[in-house]
Amino acid sequence: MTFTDRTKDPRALRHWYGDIEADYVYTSGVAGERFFRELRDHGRLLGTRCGECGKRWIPPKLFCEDCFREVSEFVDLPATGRVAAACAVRVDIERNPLPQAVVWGLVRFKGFEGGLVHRLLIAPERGRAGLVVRPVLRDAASRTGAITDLEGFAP
Amino acid sequence: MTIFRRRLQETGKELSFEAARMALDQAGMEIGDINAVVHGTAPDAFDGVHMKGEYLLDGSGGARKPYMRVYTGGGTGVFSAIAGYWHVASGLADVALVVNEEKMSSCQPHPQSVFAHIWDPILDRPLKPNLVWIFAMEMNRYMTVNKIPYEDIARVAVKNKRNAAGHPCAQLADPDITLDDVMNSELMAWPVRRLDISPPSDGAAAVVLASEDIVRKRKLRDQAAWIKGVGWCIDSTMWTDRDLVFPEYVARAAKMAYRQAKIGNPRREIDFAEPYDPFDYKELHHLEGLGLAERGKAGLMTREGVTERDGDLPVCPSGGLLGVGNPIAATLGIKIGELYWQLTGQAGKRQIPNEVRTGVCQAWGDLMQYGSVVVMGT
Repeated sequence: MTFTDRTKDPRALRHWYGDIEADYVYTSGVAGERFFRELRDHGRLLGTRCGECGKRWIPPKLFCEDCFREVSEFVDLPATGRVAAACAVRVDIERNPLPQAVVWGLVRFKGFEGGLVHRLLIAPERGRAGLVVRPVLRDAASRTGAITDLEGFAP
Repeated sequence: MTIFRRRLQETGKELSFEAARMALDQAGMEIGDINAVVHGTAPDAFDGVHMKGEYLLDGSGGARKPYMRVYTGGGTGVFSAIAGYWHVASGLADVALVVNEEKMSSCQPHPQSVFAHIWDPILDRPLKPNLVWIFAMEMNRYMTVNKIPYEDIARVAVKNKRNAAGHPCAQLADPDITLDDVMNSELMAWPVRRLDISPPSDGAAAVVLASEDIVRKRKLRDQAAWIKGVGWCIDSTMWTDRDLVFPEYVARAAKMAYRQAKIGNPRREIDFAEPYDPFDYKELHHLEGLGLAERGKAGLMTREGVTERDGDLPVCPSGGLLGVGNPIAATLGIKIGELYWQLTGQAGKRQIPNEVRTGVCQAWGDLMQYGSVVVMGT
């Protein structure tokens, strides 16, 4: 038996549409709870520091991935970070051109493992690795305690 | 093993870490001593994160190590330990860490909405099947063919919920529960009543598997139990093809494990068992599949007290899923974990009074379909 025909239109066949009706509630965990509350209430970005090996992690974790010990010390991030990688998105998921390119970056912070992915609030041609950026927060009244409390990063 | 509860705050990674750290501490090991990590967790759709194995790996200690996630539905509770065993028995790893996690509370309003999609999308789905009524039919078939009274099935729930009273992680322990309580509980889908079922839960469990060499070198012999045999088997895709009276998939998996463990007469050579008991009738079903009861006679054994903790063949001395809880893959802690604690005399209030040297545990997964069996001994 070899299937050689290409069929693209299910309407020619008996067919059924379906949905998986699943809804979720996601929580950010013990470490994430503190991270998002600080962001919302005080506009601060916190990481964690491992008491065993001294490594600092952003986003914060309850455990050190390397020495696999529980971590409880929270530390402030530096005021600025550096773009490690960037891209400029020109089309949407259906290939429609975007009126304005959306620039995304991975921002790393000196002395910290990991980093934060967010929008770079700059013209696409400026989105390059090495750019020094600072977090841009929404005003305190509109913050909800979510990653979107950050507008993004800007020079 | 973590406490089994609805745990909305902790992430699956944090639950995994808690269990993995406990296992390492008990073995006197650090993550650097671990050569490979196996993670066991049931459908991605519970946590609502696709590629859940990759998502959970840092909490399981798997980062930058040979790591794999295994998933055989509810069978994962024992199967992940089989996969961990391969790593060590093959000589590829001296020490493997097995971590199982399940966080079912993320799924709203109830994980049943996800379970509804394990069926054939064309033949079954339009009928909106539900696990409870599918298993109610299996229970009905088992009772009808073997002429088993409902009381004998309900006795399993009573025994296990009472046994769980000594378990520090238990969610559903009740030392005072009576047969009437179970038999008069809410009828969900005849013949299944509410207390015949273990509800969803959240939790994690972990186990360290080491080679004989490592156990000797680190002087761990006093606190070690040995894996003597492993087996697994899956039955055909369509549940309607199956017998429903006798779990062939368990029998074949058990035969494989017994052959390796050199067990010729399981009823005589096995001292206690931890069969999978998300429903009370499944304990009976599985005891028969494991060759520990004659076909259709597991209910009678239960009525006669043979399967009580102080009986001739203690069954689910942990309290099982009915008593401790049912965070699917994390039941590793009730099955493999209980064998370990009983065989090394560390089960505390749950310790079987008679000496135990050989135990068998089994998990059941997919749609009345998957059997995973491990025999352990001193």
